[in-house]
Amino acid sequence: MDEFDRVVTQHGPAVWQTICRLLKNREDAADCFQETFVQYVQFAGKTNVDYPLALLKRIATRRAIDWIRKRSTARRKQVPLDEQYPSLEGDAWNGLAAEEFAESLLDALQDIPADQATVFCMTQLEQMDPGQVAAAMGIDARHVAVLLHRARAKLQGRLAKHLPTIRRRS
Amino acid sequence: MNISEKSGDGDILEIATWHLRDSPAIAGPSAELIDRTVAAMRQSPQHKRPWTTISLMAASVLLAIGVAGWLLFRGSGEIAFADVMRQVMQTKSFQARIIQEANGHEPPKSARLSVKGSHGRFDTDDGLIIIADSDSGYSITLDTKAHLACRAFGPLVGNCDIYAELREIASQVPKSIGKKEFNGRMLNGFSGTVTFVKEHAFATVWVDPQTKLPARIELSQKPDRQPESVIDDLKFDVPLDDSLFDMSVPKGYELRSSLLIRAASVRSTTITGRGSTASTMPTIEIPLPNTPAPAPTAQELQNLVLKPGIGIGELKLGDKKEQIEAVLGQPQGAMREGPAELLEYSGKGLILVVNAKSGLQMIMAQGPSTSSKSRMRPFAGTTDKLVRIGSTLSEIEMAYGKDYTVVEMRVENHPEVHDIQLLYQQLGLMAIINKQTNRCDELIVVPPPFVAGPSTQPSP
Repeated sequence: MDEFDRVVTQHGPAVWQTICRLLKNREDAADCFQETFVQYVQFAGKTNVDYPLALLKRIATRRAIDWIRKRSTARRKQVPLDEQYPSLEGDAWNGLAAEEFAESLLDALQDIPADQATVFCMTQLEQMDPGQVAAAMGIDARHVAVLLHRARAKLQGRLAKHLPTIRRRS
Repeated sequence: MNISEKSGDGDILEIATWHLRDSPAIAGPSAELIDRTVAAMRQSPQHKRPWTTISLMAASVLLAIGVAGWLLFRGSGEIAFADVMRQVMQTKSFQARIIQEANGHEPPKSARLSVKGSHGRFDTDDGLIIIADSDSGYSITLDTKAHLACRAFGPLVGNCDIYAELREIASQVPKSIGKKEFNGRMLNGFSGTVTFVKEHAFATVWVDPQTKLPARIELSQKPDRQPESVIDDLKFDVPLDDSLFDMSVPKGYELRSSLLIRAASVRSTTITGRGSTASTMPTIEIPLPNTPAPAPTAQELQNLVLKPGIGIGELKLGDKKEQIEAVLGQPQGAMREGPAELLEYSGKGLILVVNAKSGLQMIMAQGPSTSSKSRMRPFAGTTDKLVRIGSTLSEIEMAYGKDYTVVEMRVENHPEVHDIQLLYQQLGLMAIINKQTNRCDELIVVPPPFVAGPSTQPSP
């Protein structure tokens, strides 16, 4: 087993999960997975990598957001849930609303600076330690907090448009 | 979770985040995908370490011969290596040509390296100029063909402590390998192993017996192999004009946040002056002047009172850029990040984040650790309750109470990066305590509620 085999075997499953959280499509995820490791090799060829998994997750997140951007050239039309499912109630409706929010979050991630989106995904979705995120991003740890703060503010603003739809049901 | 009970924008974000985080996993990756990925990695043209690492080592060896580490070498033969090092130590500048031999992936390349004090300049044959100041850690990369510029503050490559590396070098003993003629000059050779950024390299240093100064250095990654990198035409104490190391953006150049396409091949190239290294990784663009603007006067300081959740002096969060400039004057630097703009007042130690629509969104008052990197003066004002840069935790608690959330920021293997962030979420204030000094190192004012760092988990 050489270095490449080892890296993919050891970290592949975690990287796959990172990508699938964002892409939710096996074919896109497979392409993104391959791109991630090829980019990792190119990066690792230029400098030493102290935290391979953190770097892989950073690359995977960036690549996945790029994939979302690519396939979202035609944005989804926002149809209020009430219009889509006028008779749905209770948990089923809540589940759909959560799904709708998640889709909107994926849309919104492509509208904020890439570094902010990456920090948001790494800390909030991957729940990585801010120190590891800082090391993987090559930035000061406190800058992670600032990027995250900015990301959250922007994402909250983008998602706020869904409030009227929910309130009609409450 | 009853979504209908949620009403805030932040709640929607939490629901969406929670939903994405806990969404069912897709099985994988398949064995076929792993095989395909490994094959793609093997075919990647850059999986070897060509130019960048070698030039990094080459430049670092230049540094190495200029500092005390090599003084500890005990050479033999007609010239003692310690004599060579003493000669080198008396020099103030040098120039050299770094030649990267052709390898299976890339043709030969070369670049001119000029070093004067803490400043270094790297001119590549394909039109890139990289100028770095190892004291400040700042660098600028110029693409002379496309007329693009990129400023950067680079963290040390691979967590490299150059002094630790030199101690490693000093533990080796270079071996005299006799004489050899280069371009009509008979030079004395010394060979040894150097370690840099956790990599071993085999170095041969050829010394001019007349001047007792190195004239040529050959580097290879394996012993008994042709050198992969050669530092040739070494000249010491050449007059180098300061304008060579001018880090301002030349007229007609466009400042970019990164030069990813052309600069990608030199991202890790390190220019070394004496004492430390500065890399040109285009991570954060910080277009700052070389020297900070004048410090505020006592009268100006009276107008620099930070008011948590409100603003600073007569400026209020939400004020537009024009209002800010009317009060604080023109910023010394500005950086655009998406719809926001960062205005830098280097003399006042302030960075203001301004959104085109919502106006002033964040006021960052810098302390010593951030200001030394950015060549800003530390913020000399206070908050409305007299907390200042340098205040202790108990002083902050006495002023604003203990109703704060703590976020600890640390980076493994970087003990110098260990901060405690006190988030007064309802007040709209963050105070960052440097764990090394246990004193306030930065104050940030934002509209409340201030949420930074990892958010609280949504209710299940």
